Amino acid sequence: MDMFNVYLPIAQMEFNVLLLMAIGFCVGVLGGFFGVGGAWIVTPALNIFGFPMPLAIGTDFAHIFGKSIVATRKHGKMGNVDWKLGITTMVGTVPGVWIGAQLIMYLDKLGKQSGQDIVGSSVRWTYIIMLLGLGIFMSYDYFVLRKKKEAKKLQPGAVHEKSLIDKIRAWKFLAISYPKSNIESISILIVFAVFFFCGFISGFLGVGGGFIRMPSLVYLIGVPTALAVGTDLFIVMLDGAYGCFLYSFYGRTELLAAVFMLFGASIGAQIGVTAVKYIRGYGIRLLFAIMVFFAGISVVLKQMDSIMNSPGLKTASGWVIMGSASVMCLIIIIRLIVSARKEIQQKKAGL
Amino acid sequence: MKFNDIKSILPWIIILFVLFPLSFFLGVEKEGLLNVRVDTSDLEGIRLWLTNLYNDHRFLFAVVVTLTMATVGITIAFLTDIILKVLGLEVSKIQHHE
Repeated sequence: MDMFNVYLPIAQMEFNVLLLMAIGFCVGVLGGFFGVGGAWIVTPALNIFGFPMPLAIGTDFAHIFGKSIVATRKHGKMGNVDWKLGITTMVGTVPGVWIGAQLIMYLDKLGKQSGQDIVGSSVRWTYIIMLLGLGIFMSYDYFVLRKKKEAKKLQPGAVHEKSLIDKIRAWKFLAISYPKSNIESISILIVFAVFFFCGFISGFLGVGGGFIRMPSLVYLIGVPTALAVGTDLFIVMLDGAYGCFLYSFYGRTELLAAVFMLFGASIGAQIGVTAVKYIRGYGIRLLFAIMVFFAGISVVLKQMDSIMNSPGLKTASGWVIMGSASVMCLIIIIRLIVSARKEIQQKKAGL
Repeated sequence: MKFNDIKSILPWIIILFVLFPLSFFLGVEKEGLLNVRVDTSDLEGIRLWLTNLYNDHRFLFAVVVTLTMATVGITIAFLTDIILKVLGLEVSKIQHHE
Protein backbone atom coordinates (compact mmCIF):
# COMPACT_ATOMS: atom_id res chain seq x y z
CA MET A 1 0.00 0.00 0.00
CA ASP A 2 3.06 2.25 0.51
CA MET A 3 3.49 2.54 -3.26
CA PHE A 4 0.26 4.52 -3.28
CA ASN A 5 1.69 7.07 -0.85
CA VAL A 6 2.33 10.50 -2.33
CA TYR A 7 4.24 13.40 -0.77
CA LEU A 8 1.98 16.40 -0.08
CA PRO A 9 4.25 19.49 -0.18
CA ILE A 10 2.08 21.94 1.81
CA ALA A 11 1.13 19.34 4.45
CA GLN A 12 4.78 18.17 4.46
CA MET A 13 3.80 14.52 4.81
CA GLU A 14 3.07 11.39 2.81
CA PHE A 15 -0.54 10.33 2.42
CA ASN A 16 -2.21 7.38 0.73
CA VAL A 17 -3.70 8.41 -2.60
CA LEU A 18 -6.26 5.56 -2.60
CA LEU A 19 -7.57 6.73 0.76
CA LEU A 20 -7.99 10.27 -0.55
CA MET A 21 -9.83 8.96 -3.61
CA ALA A 22 -12.00 6.66 -1.46
CA ILE A 23 -13.03 9.54 0.84
CA GLY A 24 -13.71 11.66 -2.25
CA PHE A 25 -15.73 8.82 -3.84
CA CYS A 26 -17.94 8.38 -0.73
CA VAL A 27 -18.57 12.12 -0.45
CA GLY A 28 -19.16 12.32 -4.20
CA VAL A 29 -21.93 9.70 -4.05
CA LEU A 30 -23.61 11.36 -1.06
CA GLY A 31 -23.11 14.86 -2.45
CA GLY A 32 -24.50 13.99 -5.86
CA PHE A 33 -27.49 12.22 -4.29
CA PHE A 34 -28.36 14.62 -1.44
CA GLY A 35 -27.07 17.88 -2.92
CA VAL A 36 -24.66 18.55 -0.05
CA GLY A 37 -20.96 19.42 -0.04
CA GLY A 38 -20.04 16.80 2.55
CA ALA A 39 -17.64 18.78 4.76
CA TRP A 40 -19.26 17.15 7.81
CA ILE A 41 -18.03 13.79 6.54
CA VAL A 42 -14.67 14.75 5.03
CA THR A 43 -13.23 16.58 8.04
CA PRO A 44 -13.73 13.70 10.55
CA ALA A 45 -12.58 11.20 7.90
CA LEU A 46 -9.35 13.11 7.27
CA ASN A 47 -8.93 13.48 11.06
CA ILE A 48 -9.23 9.72 11.60
CA PHE A 49 -6.56 8.99 9.00
CA GLY A 50 -4.03 11.52 10.29
CA PHE A 51 -4.38 14.39 7.81
CA PRO A 52 -3.20 17.67 9.42
CA MET A 53 -6.35 19.42 10.72
CA PRO A 54 -5.31 23.04 9.97
CA LEU A 55 -5.32 22.09 6.28
CA ALA A 56 -8.47 19.91 6.31
CA ILE A 57 -11.16 22.57 5.88
CA GLY A 58 -9.46 24.42 3.00
CA THR A 59 -8.59 21.17 1.22
CA ASP A 60 -12.20 20.07 1.68
CA PHE A 61 -13.59 23.31 0.24
CA ALA A 62 -11.26 23.04 -2.75
CA HIS A 63 -12.39 19.49 -3.54
CA ILE A 64 -16.07 20.37 -2.91
CA PHE A 65 -15.81 23.21 -5.43
CA GLY A 66 -14.43 20.91 -8.14
CA LYS A 67 -16.84 18.09 -7.34
CA SER A 68 -19.90 20.31 -7.36
CA ILE A 69 -19.03 21.53 -10.89
CA VAL A 70 -19.19 17.89 -12.07
CA ALA A 71 -22.39 17.11 -10.16
CA THR A 72 -24.15 20.38 -11.06
CA ARG A 73 -23.49 19.84 -14.77
CA LYS A 74 -25.05 16.39 -14.61
CA HIS A 75 -28.03 17.56 -12.55
CA GLY A 76 -28.42 20.42 -15.03
CA LYS A 77 -28.71 17.94 -17.90
CA MET A 78 -31.40 16.07 -15.95
CA GLY A 79 -33.34 19.31 -15.50
CA ASN A 80 -32.71 19.37 -11.76
CA VAL A 81 -31.22 22.87 -11.41
CA ASP A 82 -33.25 26.04 -11.00
CA TRP A 83 -30.47 28.49 -11.97
CA LYS A 84 -32.52 31.61 -11.19
CA LEU A 85 -33.39 30.35 -7.69
CA GLY A 86 -29.79 29.34 -7.04
CA ILE A 87 -28.46 32.79 -7.94
CA THR A 88 -31.05 34.75 -5.97
CA THR A 89 -30.44 32.74 -2.78
CA MET A 90 -26.90 34.17 -2.70
CA VAL A 91 -28.32 37.64 -1.91
CA GLY A 92 -29.52 36.25 1.44
CA THR A 93 -26.79 33.68 2.05
CA VAL A 94 -23.72 35.93 1.82
CA PRO A 95 -24.75 38.45 4.53
CA GLY A 96 -26.00 35.54 6.65
CA VAL A 97 -22.64 33.79 6.46
CA TRP A 98 -20.84 37.01 7.42
CA ILE A 99 -23.09 37.60 10.46
CA GLY A 100 -22.68 33.94 11.55
CA ALA A 101 -18.90 34.20 11.28
CA GLN A 102 -18.89 37.51 13.21
CA LEU A 103 -20.87 35.85 16.02
CA ILE A 104 -18.33 33.02 16.17
CA MET A 105 -15.46 35.51 16.43
CA TYR A 106 -17.32 37.38 19.20
CA LEU A 107 -17.93 34.13 21.12
CA ASP A 108 -14.26 33.22 20.58
CA LYS A 109 -13.18 36.55 22.17
CA LEU A 110 -15.56 35.91 25.10
CA GLY A 111 -14.15 32.40 25.45
CA LYS A 112 -10.53 33.63 25.50
CA GLN A 113 -11.42 36.19 28.18
CA SER A 114 -13.19 33.65 30.38
CA GLY A 115 -10.88 30.69 29.67
CA GLN A 116 -13.80 28.51 28.52
CA ASP A 117 -14.43 26.76 25.18
CA ILE A 118 -17.59 28.77 24.41
CA VAL A 119 -17.20 28.44 20.64
CA GLY A 120 -16.67 24.67 20.61
CA SER A 121 -19.59 24.02 22.92
CA SER A 122 -21.97 26.45 21.14
CA VAL A 123 -21.14 25.00 17.73
CA ARG A 124 -21.60 21.41 18.91
CA TRP A 125 -24.94 22.11 20.63
CA THR A 126 -26.19 23.98 17.54
CA TYR A 127 -25.13 21.02 15.39
CA ILE A 128 -26.85 18.53 17.69
CA ILE A 129 -30.14 20.47 17.76
CA MET A 130 -30.13 21.09 13.99
CA LEU A 131 -29.07 17.60 12.88
CA LEU A 132 -31.18 15.55 15.30
CA GLY A 133 -34.14 17.92 14.91
CA LEU A 134 -33.94 17.76 11.13
CA GLY A 135 -33.52 13.97 11.12
CA ILE A 136 -36.52 13.48 13.42
CA PHE A 137 -38.71 15.95 11.51
CA MET A 138 -37.93 14.49 8.09
CA SER A 139 -38.54 10.94 9.36
CA TYR A 140 -41.87 12.08 10.86
CA ASP A 141 -42.70 13.72 7.53
CA TYR A 142 -42.03 10.46 5.69
CA PHE A 143 -43.75 8.04 8.06
CA VAL A 144 -46.68 10.16 9.33
CA LEU A 145 -47.39 13.39 7.41
CA ARG A 146 -46.97 11.89 3.95
CA LYS A 147 -49.49 9.10 4.71
CA LYS A 148 -51.96 11.65 6.15
CA LYS A 149 -51.66 13.74 2.97
CA GLU A 150 -52.22 10.70 0.74
CA ALA A 151 -55.19 9.53 2.83
CA LYS A 152 -56.80 12.99 2.64
CA LYS A 153 -56.40 13.06 -1.16
CA LEU A 154 -58.36 9.79 -1.41
CA GLN A 155 -61.31 11.08 0.66
CA PRO A 156 -64.26 12.05 -1.57
CA GLY A 157 -65.11 15.76 -1.38
CA ALA A 158 -62.02 16.49 0.69
CA VAL A 159 -61.29 20.19 1.12
CA HIS A 160 -57.71 21.08 0.27
CA GLU A 161 -56.16 22.52 3.45
CA LYS A 162 -53.53 25.21 3.06
CA SER A 163 -50.06 23.77 3.70
CA LEU A 164 -47.21 25.77 5.27
CA ILE A 165 -45.81 26.40 1.78
CA ASP A 166 -49.19 27.72 0.55
CA LYS A 167 -49.29 30.11 3.53
CA ILE A 168 -45.69 31.24 2.88
CA ARG A 169 -46.42 31.82 -0.81
CA ALA A 170 -49.65 33.73 -0.03
CA TRP A 171 -47.55 36.78 0.87
CA LYS A 172 -47.13 38.63 -2.44
CA PHE A 173 -45.00 41.63 -1.40
CA LEU A 174 -42.12 42.03 -3.94
CA ALA A 175 -43.13 38.73 -5.51
CA ILE A 176 -40.83 36.76 -7.80
CA SER A 177 -41.55 33.61 -9.81
CA TYR A 178 -39.45 30.49 -10.28
CA PRO A 179 -41.16 28.67 -13.19
CA LYS A 180 -38.60 25.83 -13.21
CA SER A 181 -39.58 24.92 -9.65
CA ASN A 182 -43.32 25.42 -10.39
CA ILE A 183 -43.39 28.45 -8.08
CA GLU A 184 -45.74 31.00 -9.60
CA SER A 185 -45.18 33.61 -6.97
CA ILE A 186 -43.22 34.00 -3.72
CA SER A 187 -42.03 37.11 -1.93
CA ILE A 188 -38.31 37.77 -2.51
CA LEU A 189 -38.16 38.76 1.19
CA ILE A 190 -39.16 35.20 2.15
CA VAL A 191 -36.38 33.84 -0.07
CA PHE A 192 -33.97 36.34 1.49
CA ALA A 193 -35.03 35.45 5.07
CA VAL A 194 -34.84 31.67 4.55
CA PHE A 195 -31.40 31.81 2.96
CA PHE A 196 -30.12 34.46 5.35
CA PHE A 197 -30.89 31.92 8.10
CA CYS A 198 -29.18 29.12 6.13
CA GLY A 199 -26.16 31.38 5.54
CA PHE A 200 -26.08 32.34 9.24
CA ILE A 201 -26.05 28.66 10.31
CA SER A 202 -23.40 27.89 7.71
CA GLY A 203 -21.18 30.81 8.81
CA PHE A 204 -21.70 29.95 12.49
CA LEU A 205 -20.92 26.24 12.07
CA GLY A 206 -18.13 26.86 9.53
CA VAL A 207 -19.62 24.53 6.92
CA GLY A 208 -21.17 24.77 3.46
CA GLY A 209 -24.68 24.41 4.88
CA GLY A 210 -26.12 22.03 2.28
CA PHE A 211 -27.64 19.88 5.03
CA ILE A 212 -29.91 22.77 6.10
CA ARG A 213 -30.35 24.41 2.69
CA MET A 214 -31.69 21.36 0.83
CA PRO A 215 -34.52 20.76 3.38
CA SER A 216 -35.21 24.53 3.40
CA LEU A 217 -35.70 24.47 -0.36
CA VAL A 218 -38.12 21.53 0.03
CA TYR A 219 -40.09 22.46 3.16
CA LEU A 220 -40.06 26.29 3.16
CA ILE A 221 -39.84 27.24 -0.53
CA GLY A 222 -41.70 24.18 -1.87
CA VAL A 223 -39.19 23.01 -4.47
CA PRO A 224 -39.55 19.35 -5.64
CA THR A 225 -36.90 17.21 -3.90
CA ALA A 226 -34.82 16.25 -6.95
CA LEU A 227 -34.80 19.89 -8.08
CA ALA A 228 -33.80 20.97 -4.55
CA VAL A 229 -30.85 18.53 -4.70
CA GLY A 230 -29.57 19.91 -8.02
CA THR A 231 -30.19 23.57 -7.15
CA ASP A 232 -28.46 23.11 -3.80
CA LEU A 233 -25.42 21.64 -5.56
CA PHE A 234 -25.31 24.73 -7.77
CA ILE A 235 -25.29 26.91 -4.64
CA VAL A 236 -22.61 24.63 -3.10
CA MET A 237 -20.56 25.26 -6.26
CA LEU A 238 -20.79 29.05 -5.81
CA ASP A 239 -20.08 28.79 -2.05
CA GLY A 240 -17.29 26.33 -2.80
CA ALA A 241 -15.57 28.77 -5.17
CA TYR A 242 -15.64 31.45 -2.49
CA GLY A 243 -14.55 29.03 0.28
CA CYS A 244 -11.77 27.56 -1.90
CA PHE A 245 -10.33 31.01 -2.59
CA LEU A 246 -10.70 32.31 0.96
CA TYR A 247 -9.18 29.27 2.70
CA SER A 248 -6.38 29.02 0.13
CA PHE A 249 -5.58 32.64 0.92
CA TYR A 250 -5.52 31.63 4.60
CA GLY A 251 -2.96 28.96 3.63
CA ARG A 252 -5.28 26.13 4.66
CA THR A 253 -5.40 24.15 1.37
CA GLU A 254 -3.28 21.19 0.27
CA LEU A 255 -3.89 21.35 -3.49
CA LEU A 256 -2.52 17.91 -4.36
CA ALA A 257 -4.76 16.18 -1.80
CA ALA A 258 -7.76 18.15 -3.09
CA VAL A 259 -7.08 17.05 -6.69
CA PHE A 260 -6.86 13.35 -5.73
CA MET A 261 -10.08 13.61 -3.69
CA LEU A 262 -11.71 15.29 -6.69
CA PHE A 263 -10.90 12.33 -8.95
CA GLY A 264 -12.67 9.99 -6.52
CA ALA A 265 -15.51 12.46 -5.95
CA SER A 266 -16.14 12.88 -9.69
CA ILE A 267 -16.75 9.14 -10.09
CA GLY A 268 -18.91 9.07 -6.96
CA ALA A 269 -20.91 12.09 -8.08
CA GLN A 270 -21.84 10.37 -11.35
CA ILE A 271 -23.30 7.49 -9.33
CA GLY A 272 -25.05 9.72 -6.79
CA VAL A 273 -26.61 12.01 -9.39
CA THR A 274 -27.79 9.09 -11.56
CA ALA A 275 -29.39 7.43 -8.51
CA VAL A 276 -31.68 10.49 -8.11
CA LYS A 277 -33.35 9.44 -11.35
CA TYR A 278 -34.51 6.15 -9.82
CA ILE A 279 -35.57 7.12 -6.29
CA ARG A 280 -38.67 9.19 -5.62
CA GLY A 281 -38.52 12.47 -3.71
CA TYR A 282 -39.78 11.07 -0.41
CA GLY A 283 -37.25 8.23 -0.63
CA ILE A 284 -34.43 10.76 -0.96
CA ARG A 285 -35.83 12.67 2.04
CA LEU A 286 -35.95 9.52 4.20
CA LEU A 287 -32.36 8.55 3.40
CA PHE A 288 -31.30 12.15 4.06
CA ALA A 289 -33.09 12.05 7.43
CA ILE A 290 -31.20 8.86 8.42
CA MET A 291 -27.88 10.39 7.33
CA VAL A 292 -28.27 13.63 9.30
CA PHE A 293 -29.53 11.69 12.33
CA PHE A 294 -26.31 9.67 12.45
CA ALA A 295 -24.32 12.86 11.89
CA GLY A 296 -26.12 14.26 14.96
CA ILE A 297 -25.18 11.16 16.99
CA SER A 298 -21.56 11.66 15.95
CA VAL A 299 -21.62 15.24 17.28
CA VAL A 300 -23.28 14.04 20.53
CA LEU A 301 -20.29 11.71 21.05
CA LYS A 302 -17.90 14.61 20.39
CA GLN A 303 -19.77 16.78 22.92
CA MET A 304 -19.59 13.96 25.47
CA ASP A 305 -15.84 13.76 24.78
CA SER A 306 -15.45 17.49 25.48
CA ILE A 307 -17.21 17.03 28.85
CA MET A 308 -15.70 13.68 29.90
CA ASN A 309 -12.30 14.05 28.16
CA SER A 310 -12.32 10.52 26.80
CA PRO A 311 -10.30 10.07 23.54
CA GLY A 312 -12.29 6.90 22.83
CA LEU A 313 -15.47 8.96 22.38
CA LYS A 314 -13.78 11.26 19.87
CA THR A 315 -12.60 8.27 17.84
CA ALA A 316 -16.06 6.69 18.08
CA SER A 317 -17.57 9.94 16.80
CA GLY A 318 -15.33 9.86 13.72
CA TRP A 319 -16.13 6.19 13.06
CA VAL A 320 -19.90 6.75 13.44
CA ILE A 321 -19.91 9.40 10.72
CA MET A 322 -17.55 7.46 8.45
CA GLY A 323 -19.43 4.22 9.01
CA SER A 324 -22.86 5.69 8.38
CA ALA A 325 -21.59 7.56 5.29
CA SER A 326 -20.09 4.33 3.88
CA VAL A 327 -23.28 2.32 4.55
CA MET A 328 -25.43 5.06 3.00
CA CYS A 329 -23.14 5.05 -0.04
CA LEU A 330 -23.63 1.32 -0.38
CA ILE A 331 -27.43 1.65 -0.09
CA ILE A 332 -27.47 4.27 -2.85
CA ILE A 333 -25.24 2.17 -5.14
CA ILE A 334 -27.33 -0.98 -4.58
CA ARG A 335 -30.59 0.91 -5.23
CA LEU A 336 -29.09 2.33 -8.41
CA ILE A 337 -27.97 -1.09 -9.68
CA VAL A 338 -31.32 -2.74 -8.86
CA SER A 339 -33.37 0.06 -10.44
CA ALA A 340 -31.15 0.32 -13.51
CA ARG A 341 -31.37 -3.45 -14.11
CA LYS A 342 -35.17 -3.27 -13.78
CA GLU A 343 -35.26 -0.45 -16.32
CA ILE A 344 -33.09 -2.40 -18.75
CA GLN A 345 -35.29 -5.51 -18.38
CA GLN A 346 -38.42 -3.43 -18.96
CA LYS A 347 -36.88 -1.89 -22.09
CA LYS A 348 -35.97 -5.36 -23.39
CA ALA A 349 -39.53 -6.56 -22.69
CA GLY A 350 -40.72 -3.63 -24.78
CA LEU A 351 -42.56 -1.82 -21.91
CA MET B 1 -29.28 48.07 -23.36
CA LYS B 2 -32.96 47.99 -22.31
CA PHE B 3 -33.93 48.20 -18.65
CA ASN B 4 -35.47 44.70 -18.74
CA ASP B 5 -32.18 43.24 -20.00
CA ILE B 6 -30.27 45.00 -17.20
CA LYS B 7 -32.86 43.81 -14.62
CA SER B 8 -32.30 40.18 -15.61
CA ILE B 9 -28.54 40.31 -15.10
CA LEU B 10 -28.62 42.59 -12.05
CA PRO B 11 -28.38 39.70 -9.50
CA TRP B 12 -25.24 38.44 -11.35
CA ILE B 13 -23.68 41.93 -11.22
CA ILE B 14 -24.48 42.36 -7.51
CA ILE B 15 -23.09 38.94 -6.63
CA LEU B 16 -19.93 39.04 -8.76
CA PHE B 17 -18.87 42.66 -8.31
CA VAL B 18 -20.28 43.58 -4.93
CA LEU B 19 -21.06 40.62 -2.67
CA PHE B 20 -18.12 38.33 -3.46
CA PRO B 21 -15.38 40.99 -3.12
CA LEU B 22 -17.14 42.50 -0.08
CA SER B 23 -17.52 39.13 1.62
CA PHE B 24 -13.89 38.28 0.84
CA PHE B 25 -12.56 41.44 2.47
CA LEU B 26 -15.03 41.20 5.35
CA GLY B 27 -14.33 37.47 5.75
CA VAL B 28 -10.57 37.70 6.03
CA GLU B 29 -9.61 37.73 9.71
CA LYS B 30 -6.04 37.74 10.92
CA GLU B 31 -6.80 34.78 13.24
CA GLY B 32 -7.72 32.68 10.16
CA LEU B 33 -4.36 33.15 8.42
CA LEU B 34 -2.01 30.20 8.84
CA ASN B 35 1.43 31.79 9.24
CA VAL B 36 3.56 28.81 8.28
CA ARG B 37 6.60 28.70 5.97
CA VAL B 38 6.95 25.36 4.26
CA ASP B 39 10.47 23.95 3.92
CA THR B 40 11.30 23.76 0.17
CA SER B 41 14.81 22.28 0.39
CA ASP B 42 13.77 18.78 -0.81
CA LEU B 43 11.23 19.90 -3.40
CA GLU B 44 11.57 20.33 -7.14
CA GLY B 45 9.48 20.98 -10.23
CA ILE B 46 5.84 21.91 -9.84
CA ARG B 47 5.81 21.10 -6.09
CA LEU B 48 8.62 23.65 -5.57
CA TRP B 49 6.84 26.28 -7.65
CA LEU B 50 3.55 25.76 -5.81
CA THR B 51 5.17 25.82 -2.36
CA ASN B 52 7.11 29.02 -3.23
CA LEU B 53 3.82 30.58 -4.24
CA TYR B 54 2.30 29.42 -0.93
CA ASN B 55 5.19 30.86 1.09
CA ASP B 56 5.63 34.18 -0.70
CA HIS B 57 2.54 35.06 -2.77
CA ARG B 58 -0.53 33.82 -0.89
CA PHE B 59 -3.04 35.72 -3.05
CA LEU B 60 -1.60 34.17 -6.25
CA PHE B 61 -1.58 30.77 -4.54
CA ALA B 62 -5.33 31.19 -3.85
CA VAL B 63 -5.94 32.16 -7.50
CA VAL B 64 -3.95 29.14 -8.76
CA VAL B 65 -5.79 26.71 -6.44
CA THR B 66 -9.24 28.05 -7.40
CA LEU B 67 -8.48 28.04 -11.13
CA THR B 68 -6.93 24.56 -10.92
CA MET B 69 -9.93 23.04 -9.15
CA ALA B 70 -12.31 24.77 -11.58
CA THR B 71 -10.33 23.55 -14.61
CA VAL B 72 -10.02 19.98 -13.33
CA GLY B 73 -13.73 19.94 -12.41
CA ILE B 74 -14.87 21.27 -15.80
CA THR B 75 -12.52 18.90 -17.66
CA ILE B 76 -13.78 15.86 -15.76
CA ALA B 77 -17.39 16.98 -16.31
CA PHE B 78 -16.92 17.22 -20.08
CA LEU B 79 -14.87 14.03 -20.35
CA THR B 80 -17.52 12.14 -18.40
CA ASP B 81 -20.21 13.44 -20.76
CA ILE B 82 -18.22 12.16 -23.74
CA ILE B 83 -17.55 8.75 -22.16
CA LEU B 84 -21.18 8.28 -21.12
CA LYS B 85 -22.36 9.31 -24.61
CA VAL B 86 -20.03 6.74 -26.22
CA LEU B 87 -21.32 4.05 -23.83
CA GLY B 88 -24.94 5.01 -24.56
CA LEU B 89 -25.55 6.04 -20.95
CA GLU B 90 -26.39 9.69 -21.53
CA VAL B 91 -28.91 11.14 -19.07
CA SER B 92 -31.92 13.13 -20.13
CA LYS B 93 -34.45 15.32 -18.32
CA ILE B 94 -36.37 13.46 -15.60
CA GLN B 95 -39.91 13.74 -14.25
CA HIS B 96 -40.03 15.02 -10.70
CA HIS B 97 -42.05 12.65 -8.50
CA GLU B 98 -42.45 13.13 -4.77
